[in-house]
Amino acid sequence: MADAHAAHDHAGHDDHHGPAKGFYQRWVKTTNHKDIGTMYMVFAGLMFFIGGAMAMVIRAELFKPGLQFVDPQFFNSMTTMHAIFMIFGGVMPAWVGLANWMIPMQVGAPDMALPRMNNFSFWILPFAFLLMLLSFFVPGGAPAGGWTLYPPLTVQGGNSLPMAIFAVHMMGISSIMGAINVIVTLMNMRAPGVTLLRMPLFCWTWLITAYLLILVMPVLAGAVTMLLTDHFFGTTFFSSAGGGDPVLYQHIFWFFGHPEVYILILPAFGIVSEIIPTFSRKPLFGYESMVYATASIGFLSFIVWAHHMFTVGMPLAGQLFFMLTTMLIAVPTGVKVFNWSATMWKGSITFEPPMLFAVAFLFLFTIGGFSGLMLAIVPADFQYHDTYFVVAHFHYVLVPGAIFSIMAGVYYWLPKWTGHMYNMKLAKWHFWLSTIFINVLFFPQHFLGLAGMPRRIPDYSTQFAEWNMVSSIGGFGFGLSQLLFPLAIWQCVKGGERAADRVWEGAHGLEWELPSPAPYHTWESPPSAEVVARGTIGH
Amino acid sequence: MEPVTTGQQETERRRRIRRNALLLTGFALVVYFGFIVAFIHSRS
Repeated sequence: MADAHAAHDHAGHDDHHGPAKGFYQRWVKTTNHKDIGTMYMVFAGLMFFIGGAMAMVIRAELFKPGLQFVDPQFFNSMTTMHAIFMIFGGVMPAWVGLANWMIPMQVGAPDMALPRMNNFSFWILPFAFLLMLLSFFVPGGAPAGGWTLYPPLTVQGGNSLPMAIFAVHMMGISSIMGAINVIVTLMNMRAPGVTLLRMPLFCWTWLITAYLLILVMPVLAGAVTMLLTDHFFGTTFFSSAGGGDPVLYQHIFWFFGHPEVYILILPAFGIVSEIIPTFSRKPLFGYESMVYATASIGFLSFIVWAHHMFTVGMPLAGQLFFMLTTMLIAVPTGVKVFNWSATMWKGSITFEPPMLFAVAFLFLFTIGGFSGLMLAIVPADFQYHDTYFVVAHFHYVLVPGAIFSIMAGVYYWLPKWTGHMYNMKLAKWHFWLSTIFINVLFFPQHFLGLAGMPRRIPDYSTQFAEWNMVSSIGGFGFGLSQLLFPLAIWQCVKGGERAADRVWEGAHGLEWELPSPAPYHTWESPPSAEVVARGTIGH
Repeated sequence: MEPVTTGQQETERRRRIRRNALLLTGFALVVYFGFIVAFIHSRS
């Protein structure tokens, strides 16, 4: 570690190397990967709470049968905007924020390869989401046709359609720029000795995620551009009246949409693969098989899209193909779950907050995976399609999957970022409340779905009343317990017990060779061969 | 693709970064416009 400190002592004496003074210079014009990472994370946090507030409206309305608080049109806007804010505003920017913070530190690079583009890709986002929020105030209200923006429903909406489409383009451009930055950084900026197969799993999963992003975001942009021309310029890509086909849109959307699901979850696999070995005090079991499993999942994500639309009708061969390829995803995913379990096997395990979230991920994501397998079975899907069973499935995958992993990552690296330990008790309260309430919130939705309750409805038959009430109570509990998260982070930023350089006893990786808090500029001189060997020994 | 850090190799790395970034940007644009053009073609 002496080498790493020596490399940074020099930087510490150079006044030009600190952050710029003043909000505009420091934050608006910054090209520093840590500043940009922080902005992404703060932005994602804000979007989580806005999207979460929308979820509270949904659960309040569904607390009991009948129309209570909002009219059906607004309810539909809530479900649509909740999804868009959580996916594009919450989870994706949070991953890009973590990538910005950690990738250069983990591969021994001084910054991302394209720092100015990095700044630009962040600053597009606030405008995109401001535009989405403003769409609530135009005639007809915010988009209400679902986050999938299916025609013909979406093109029959109010004036918000072009706003949503422009916002989606901006989000897409931002994501593509972020992905290009990650790929170029990982391919060109690794320190000598950090070979591809010595990279931490978080970098590997992000590399594959970045390729998925570049492959599918332009497809989404193309699809919504065609929606726009259908609405305003008289084309009929998706209108059967002019020879087009609305089902075509669904195919195109899900060709984007399914890899998008893996864009949301692959970096989570990376984070969990970092945390479980640390707190099990053992190297990750099957590092290379993890890499290949991630790549396999990435590949398979491109050939399963139509399982989202079995009920629109397709030839039997198509149904069989998409059912079997979907089930095939369970193989590499099973490899991962096995490897995480095998890493913990006979480990010297302790349960600090990052590990608690990672273990909860392992159990709860697997539940979401299994209900996904059920949905893959064509005849069963005909029953489950568009019911609350699907809502339960994807929330199990995305909340204890993606969001718990983001929280795990924040609790894992926060002491490295701030130089302080956070309040462990508060973080554990946050974990236990979240884990209990998330199950109260989403598990009953399986029962509701199997009993036939449809998605995206503000009112329902009285037979669904009890479990909806339970689910809403879980929702309010989960929402309120999330307030502990910014509190724990804020306390940690302001002060606390001083963090060691290697914050966690079992941690391996180049980021732990750096001082805590990580200096404004890190690895201006590449790490020595000795530091690289020590920092990557866990693999 | 082993990373390099000094002298002429650094210049070479910067050139490679630019080339990678341009290639990936070009790819995204080709998918976007290619996709739309292909659909227009299939409908005409």
